[in-house]
Order: sequence, then structure tokens, then C-alpha cells
Amino acid sequence: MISQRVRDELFTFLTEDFNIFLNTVDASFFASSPRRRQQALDLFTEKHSTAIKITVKLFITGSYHELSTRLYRLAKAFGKPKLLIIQSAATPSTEQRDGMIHALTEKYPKAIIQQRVSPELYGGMRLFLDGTLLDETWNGTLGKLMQSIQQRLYVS
Amino acid sequence: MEALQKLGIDGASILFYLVNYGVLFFILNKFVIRPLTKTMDERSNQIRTNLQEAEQLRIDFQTEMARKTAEASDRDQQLNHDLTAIRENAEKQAQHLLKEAEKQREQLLAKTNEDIAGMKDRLLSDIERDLLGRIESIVRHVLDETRTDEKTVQSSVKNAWDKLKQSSKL
Repeated sequence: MISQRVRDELFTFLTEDFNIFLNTVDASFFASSPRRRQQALDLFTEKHSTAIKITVKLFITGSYHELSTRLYRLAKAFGKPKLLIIQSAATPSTEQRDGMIHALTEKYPKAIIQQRVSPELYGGMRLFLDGTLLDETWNGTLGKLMQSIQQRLYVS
Repeated sequence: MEALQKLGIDGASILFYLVNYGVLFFILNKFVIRPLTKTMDERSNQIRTNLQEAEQLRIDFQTEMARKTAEASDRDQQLNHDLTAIRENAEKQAQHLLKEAEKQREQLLAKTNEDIAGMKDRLLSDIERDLLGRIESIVRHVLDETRTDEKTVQSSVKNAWDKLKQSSKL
């Protein structure tokens, strides 16, 4: 049985530290072997408790998407995290990505961030946060435009 | 007297003649005049009775004729009354049917106009939808072409993030 203190510690670690780590780590991390990944994780959890070190072992294998999903499920086991999905038409640059992650984690602490690249959006990006959609994609703009034209036609 | 005797007329003859005449008168009266008179009276009575009967028949016939004429007149009046009533009723029915037909015609016309308007609206709507679909398809095609330029897409992501950062909803 895990005590509430350990649960809270694990939840904070997963939603804040590990959430930022997973979203800002270099893409080569997800392509590296389990051994190398273990080394990187050991280095990351050097100063953390044994419970955290054991928990992090769950992330030795898997792609970014798999790990992100796993992180959200795990965080849900220890608390009530929000899910924030960043969907962009192209992979953002490292600098851009880090900027976004830091800004969003600052604005929405304890929200699990998931990044997705969707070329069908044509351009721009959008954010989903607990049922709220902030859309700045070309596809969304086109949809709004078409809807607006349609509404005007029906009104006239 | 002598003059009468010269003529062959004497008292006995006169008496004889008178008796003869008396007998003759008696016989004639007894066997001819009386039966004849009786027969004539009977005949006369018969004719009078017949005439009375004929008169009665004439009166009865006239009465019957008058009654029949009155009946016929009444029948004619009743028939005319009935005919008038039937004509009026038929006219009313015809008016009612005409009104109904007019009402139905107007309803049909209104429905037809409504259908035509609906069809027109649907047609316009279909055309608009088709046109919008074509516009959207063209825009998507242009966007597809643009997507091949990675820099533009990258730049769009950056611009979008800048807009989201400034959004009050974030």
C-alpha cells in the first residue's frame, strides 16, 4: 500500500518534472536503446526517492506517444491531472517546443502535455485543454470561414 | 122541326147519334184515350226523370270536373313549389360546390406555390452547398500545395503559437 505522501510526491514528479522532461528531451532519447534510456533516466532521477526511480523504470521502452499516454494513465492513478494536447501541422523547432512547454506548464501546472503532429491541419496549431479547443490552424480557419459563409447565405 | 125532318134529322136519330157518340166516347175513353194518356204521362215522367238525372249527372260531372281541376291546380302548385325548392336547393348545392372547388383550387395553388418555393430554396441551397464545396476543395488543394513548403508550415506554427500566447483564453 502506497502512503498518501508518496502518492502526492509521485503525482507531483510525474505531472511536473517528468512531464517537462518527456516533452523537452531530445528526440534521440526515444530512438535510443533501453540501456541508454536507463542511463538518461538514472541521471534525471539521481536526486529523487527510490519510489520515483522505480516508477520511472516503466518508461524504459516505448515511443513518445506511448510514453505520454502511459504518463497520463499513471498520473491519473495518483491524482487528477488535466490533459493538454498540442497539435501542430509540423514538428516545431526545439526552441519553439521548449518555449511552448515551459509556458504551458507554467500556466497549467499538473497538466499532462501531449504533443502531436497532424499534417492534415495544413498549417498552424491548436490546443485541447479539458474540452476547450483553441484553434489557430489553417484547417480550422477554413472551416470557420466556410461556416460563416454558409450562415450568411442562410440568413440572406 | 119539319126542316129537320126534311134533312133526315129527327129526335130518335139524334138520340141514336148521341147514344152512339156516348158509347164511342166511352169506349175510346176507356180503351184508347186513357191508356194513351197514361202511357204519355209515364213517358213524359220517364223523360223528365231522365232529364233530371242527366241534369244531376251534368252537375255531378261539373262538380267532379271542378274538383279535379282544383286538384290538378293544387298539384301544379305543389309541383311548382317542389320544383322551385329543388331548383333553389340545386343552386345552393352548385354554389357550395363552386365555393368548395374555388377553395380547393386556391389551396392547391398555394400548396403548389409553396412546393415551387421549397424546390427553389432547395435548389439554391444545393447550388450554394455545391459551390461552397468546390471553393473548399480548391482552397484545400491550394493548402495541400502550400504544405510542401516546410518553411511556410513551420512559420505558420510559430505564428499560431504567438497568437495563442496572446489569446485571453489561454
